[in-house]
Amino acid sequence: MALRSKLILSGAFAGLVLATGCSPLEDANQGKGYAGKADTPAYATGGGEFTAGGFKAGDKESWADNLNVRAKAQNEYVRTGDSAKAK
Amino acid sequence: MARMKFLCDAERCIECNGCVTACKNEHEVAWGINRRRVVTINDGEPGERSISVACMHCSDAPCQAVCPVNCFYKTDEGVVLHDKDLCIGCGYCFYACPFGAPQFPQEGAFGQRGKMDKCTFCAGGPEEDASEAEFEKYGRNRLAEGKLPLCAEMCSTKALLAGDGDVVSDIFRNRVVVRGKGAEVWGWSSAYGQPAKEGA
Repeated sequence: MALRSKLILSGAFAGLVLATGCSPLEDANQGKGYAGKADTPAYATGGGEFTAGGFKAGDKESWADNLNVRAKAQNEYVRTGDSAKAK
Repeated sequence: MARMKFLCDAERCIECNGCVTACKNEHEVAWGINRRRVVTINDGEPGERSISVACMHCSDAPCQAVCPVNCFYKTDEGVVLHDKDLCIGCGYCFYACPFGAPQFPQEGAFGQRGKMDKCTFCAGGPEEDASEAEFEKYGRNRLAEGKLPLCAEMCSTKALLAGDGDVVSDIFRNRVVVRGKGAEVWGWSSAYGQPAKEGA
């Protein structure tokens, strides 16, 4: 009888360990998405002393235009004035 | 504004590692951490190609999906960033990332992992913009300064392009038309998905 109850107890314990080990990780934020600190948008602060392009802090459009000018400048056909190749 | 993307033109990359050096210098990245690296395929054989690889800031970022503490977020420009104060260094993001972008400092004993570090598209993190705290944890915030990532801006052959996805793909399309070859963009379908087909 004692052996049987020991077997049952050890089986139940092993089952509990397996169930705990194989269950999915608990979502630390209960599925609400990002759990960290809020970030300010890149255009909001003006960037400090090394700002380039003269956009105004908080003006999203001028900031985006400024970045697009820099992005387009990566096309060397435009930079070198090779209008035959630049499209 | 559309979303920010990286594009590496394998026809142009000369494996100079200028992007790697620029990144490490700009953000004062710790030893053993490479936010960007250059990978060469078929090294030493005819037709070898080099590609500059970092976080691609995926549309549907797998790192964000698997993070057990939800420390990842995406900015309005599509840049995938994370909060180092929340990161527990579990490494799930590293296993999920198809580009091997997440990096971990291993200064502790027995290979203990520190907090994850990765390319921020030079957009800092969730600390005050241009603050000392932001620089210490994430590096410079060039995006807030109205600049693009330094790796791309100083690429000597302009193999690495960064910026608005539409602008960057226009530049690449222009190049392919001029040279008449090399239309494959490495990593784009993994990072940004396949383009939707008309009528599909």
